[in-house]
Amino acid sequence: MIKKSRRLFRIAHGKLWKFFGGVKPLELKYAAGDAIEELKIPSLITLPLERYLGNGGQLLVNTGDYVKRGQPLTTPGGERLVPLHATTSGTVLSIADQILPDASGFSGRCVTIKTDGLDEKVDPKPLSDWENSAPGPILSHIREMGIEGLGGALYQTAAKLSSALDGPLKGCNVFIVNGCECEPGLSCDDRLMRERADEIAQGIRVIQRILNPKLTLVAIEENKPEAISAMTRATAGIALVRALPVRYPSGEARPLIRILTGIEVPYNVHTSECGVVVDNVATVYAVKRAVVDGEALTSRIVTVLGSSMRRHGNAEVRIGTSVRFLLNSYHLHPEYHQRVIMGGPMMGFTLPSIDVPITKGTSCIMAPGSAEIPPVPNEMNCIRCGRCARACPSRLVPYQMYAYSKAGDHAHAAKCGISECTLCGSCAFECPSHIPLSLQFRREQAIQGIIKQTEIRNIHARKATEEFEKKEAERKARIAAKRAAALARIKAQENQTAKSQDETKGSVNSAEVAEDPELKKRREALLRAKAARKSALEAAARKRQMAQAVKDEPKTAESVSDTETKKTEDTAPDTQKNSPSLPYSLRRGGMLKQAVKTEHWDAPAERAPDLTMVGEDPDLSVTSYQEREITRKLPVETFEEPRAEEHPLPEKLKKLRNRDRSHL
Amino acid sequence: MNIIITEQAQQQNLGIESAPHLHARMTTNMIMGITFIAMLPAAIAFYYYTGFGFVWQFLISYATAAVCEILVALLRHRPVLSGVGNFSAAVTCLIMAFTLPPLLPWYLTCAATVFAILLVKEAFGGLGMNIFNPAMAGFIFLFVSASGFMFRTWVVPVDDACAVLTPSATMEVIFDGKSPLELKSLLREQEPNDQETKKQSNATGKGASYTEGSDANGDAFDAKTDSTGGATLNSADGTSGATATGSDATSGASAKALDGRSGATMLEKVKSSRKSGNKDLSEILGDLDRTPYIWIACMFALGGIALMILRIIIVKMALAFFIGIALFSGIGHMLWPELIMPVTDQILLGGTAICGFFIITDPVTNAGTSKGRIAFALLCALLIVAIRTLGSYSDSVAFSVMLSNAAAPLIDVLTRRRAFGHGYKKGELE
Repeated sequence: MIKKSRRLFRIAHGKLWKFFGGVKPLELKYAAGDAIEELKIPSLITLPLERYLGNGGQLLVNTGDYVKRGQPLTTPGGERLVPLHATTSGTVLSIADQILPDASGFSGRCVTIKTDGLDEKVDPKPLSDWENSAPGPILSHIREMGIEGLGGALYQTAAKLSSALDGPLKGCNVFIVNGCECEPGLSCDDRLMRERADEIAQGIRVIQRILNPKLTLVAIEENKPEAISAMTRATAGIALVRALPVRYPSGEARPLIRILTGIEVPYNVHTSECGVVVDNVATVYAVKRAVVDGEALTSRIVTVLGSSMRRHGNAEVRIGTSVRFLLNSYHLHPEYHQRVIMGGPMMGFTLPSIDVPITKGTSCIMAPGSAEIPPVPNEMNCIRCGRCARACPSRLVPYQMYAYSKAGDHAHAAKCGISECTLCGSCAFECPSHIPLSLQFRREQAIQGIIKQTEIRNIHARKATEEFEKKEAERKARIAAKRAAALARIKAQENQTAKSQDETKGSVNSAEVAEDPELKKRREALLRAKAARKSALEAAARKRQMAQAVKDEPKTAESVSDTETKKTEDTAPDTQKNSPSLPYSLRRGGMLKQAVKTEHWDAPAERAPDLTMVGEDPDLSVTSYQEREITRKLPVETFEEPRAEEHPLPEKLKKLRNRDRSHL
Repeated sequence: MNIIITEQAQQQNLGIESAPHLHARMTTNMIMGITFIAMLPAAIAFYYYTGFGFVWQFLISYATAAVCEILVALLRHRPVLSGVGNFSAAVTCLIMAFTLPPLLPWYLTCAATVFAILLVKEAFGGLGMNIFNPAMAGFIFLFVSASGFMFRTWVVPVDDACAVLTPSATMEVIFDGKSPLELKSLLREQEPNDQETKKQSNATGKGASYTEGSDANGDAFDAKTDSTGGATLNSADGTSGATATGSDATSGASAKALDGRSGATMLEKVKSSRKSGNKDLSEILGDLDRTPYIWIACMFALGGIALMILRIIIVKMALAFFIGIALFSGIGHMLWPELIMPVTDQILLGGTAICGFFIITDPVTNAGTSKGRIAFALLCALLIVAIRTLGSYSDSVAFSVMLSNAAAPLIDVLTRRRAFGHGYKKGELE
């Protein structure tokens, strides 16, 4: 089959193509020598919900529930999403807004689990017969186990594979296992390939079973010789290992496909439509764990490095572990304005807060000192040196795009191909003037998205108005027709009446006379009803006055014994009682004073019992802005709790602490 | 960046930065600095062949440029040293110094620099925003408005000219308004034994050379050269070339007088000969002593190769330029040998060398992509040959660079490249 296609033949015989652009940054792979170590289970696990609910998704747990490792917490709505699994055993502490691991510092809904340290698992559900089963069940199993692209894009693996299956090829020609890891600093995939090559090979076999590709390639950059040898040994007979030259964005899907197969997949076409499926090695490993071992995706390998940390290494952590925990276990000694980069130093972002969880897409946490990665200097003018254009792997002209985008010329920016920018950062890396090109492009892409949305909305609105106008015109036409008909009828009637009047004048008069007694009766009844209502109101008012007089008497007696100021307060209701005809303003003042007096209290209202409910969703009890602030702070405090238990506080202090809390 | 900083995040006080945290080592200032340093070997050669006047020109020009930059920074509410702090002005001034006649009165140099920095560069928005090459624009400004001065103060490159044109001697001419003729005659005496060289030295002093030249050859020629300001043109050619032209003139043995007249104006001579009727070019160019030109051109090439190694200029672009010159002039010389100079002279004379390595490679006024740059270089080469042959000015480099600068945006549009994935055909993998 391969021999039929010349290109496939060349691919199979190790031909490598070149891609345009690319850069060679510092490799910084000094953590590659550290073996994967499993970290301790943190006391709290935070799992952002947003990606795992979708439209019509359901949350399966509530606060206080006990969950086990691998237990699904959500059923997602829509095919594109996967369920979320608890990553260790414990009780659900809260379901509330917390800061998300994002450059923006936005907060979103998260499930927080207080771990019990036992790490109980749900029973594994391996798909024992995967070697003989059809692709459908395997895919649904992969989806149930919550597997997403661990390279960072978090594209759901089962959806990717099934879109390849649904395509015209019913599978794919080339399946590429991406172990390039071109991002500087990362070594998690490298370590994974070195230590667990056999399991990855098994994962490859699972996916081969699903896709039935003509060729399977494992792409690894040349700077990982040990991984190359390990994978060559493990995948002998299953896949071909290719050593790629080291160049920065070669690990991105499209440049990688270009290198290995020589075709350039357009950005608006899925790779699977072109017969290529690319999956990260970590994803393939997770597929093996899900299908063969029956375990959900609950942990991943994260590279932790940076000169601000005493240690560096590759840690296998539970998803949902906070970055703070990770940094502490690698002994962070922060400098002033310490940057904590999530993801690699080329495409990663600095975190505004380290109290954020690690997600499935986090491959690296880096805390560089300013000597290791100097802070970006101030930008200068563009001198159009063209380095960015030579570095762009998408063959765009970044300085032009930047100029248009900066000037707000979104139409031209779109024409220059802003939508084809992958934000790889090669241009900004090369820029001698240190212009934040990729930052501007990210912003521009967001703007383009908004523009597109508004355009779609405008089209809808235009359609709607057209329809409305159509209907309106129809309605008017109908009314006009009706009116014309009515006029015609009236005219006809008038003509008739005129005729009939001439004929019988007397009969009309008798009808008028006959109507009179009926009208009279009705009028009389109305008048009677009115009188009755009036009298009833008066009686009620009298009753109220009486009652008030009775109430006020003892009060006035008390007030006499009190101070003079109180007397004046109490006289107001008296006057009101005595003379209800006082002007409204005066009456009202008196009533206000009374109200103040009755509602007087000296201690603030206590909200303490509500606190246990905080985090339950939706929290309708919280209405004011300040209260919201308080609830947002609460999860932070829960981070300290375990420590407090380790060193028990003296009773007095504990009481003090409790009282402080009750004030909140 | 729009970031929501919560109270919690604020307490942590983390550094925030946008995406690529790694950066390449090269900075804009380094690019400018390296370009400046790369021109220094040529500057030393220039000093040796044309004396200290060249250094004075650079110093005057740079002082003026610094004042202009500070003024602009103040006007634009920028940090005062933002303009002076980088080497871009220094590079512009050095190119200007290469272009302008070494004995030009100081106020003219000032005027040219003010025009170049204020009007051509800063009025368009400063570094990186100018459309035209400031040095070339300044040169043309002076050349068009004060061609007589430029003609008179030109110095033809002579061996060991720095011994005669000492700092104090040149200072008297440049700052005190002393006539440059005395110095030029001194320069002529430098090599008294060799008649040819004497004549050449005569040629160096334009005025002086003029008279001598007229004696030797024909008045008509001289007059023509003068009137056209051919000398100036020549000088323009060689921003580096000016000197080169001068030296050309000197070297031309048969047309010594002509050479002398036009000073740098080997090119001018050629032009006037062409105007006066079809003279054989080999007669003029045949006895040319090309040593100074070759040295200066080699020094420029040395700097240019250093820039190529440091990946500051594209190899393809310089190559395309010189191949273009060779191609156009080679074909032209074959077809019309009496009109178009041979390839070697086209490259050595005038400012071709500095143009190929330092002027057209100025990224700011260039086309963007490498394809566009090659087109730009070829256009510039074509214009240089064409203007030298057909134009009324003998100098062509400055004009052709300006014209190509004007065409750069068009080239940018015409050489738009195929974006990634465009042109993918379905089923390519089957």
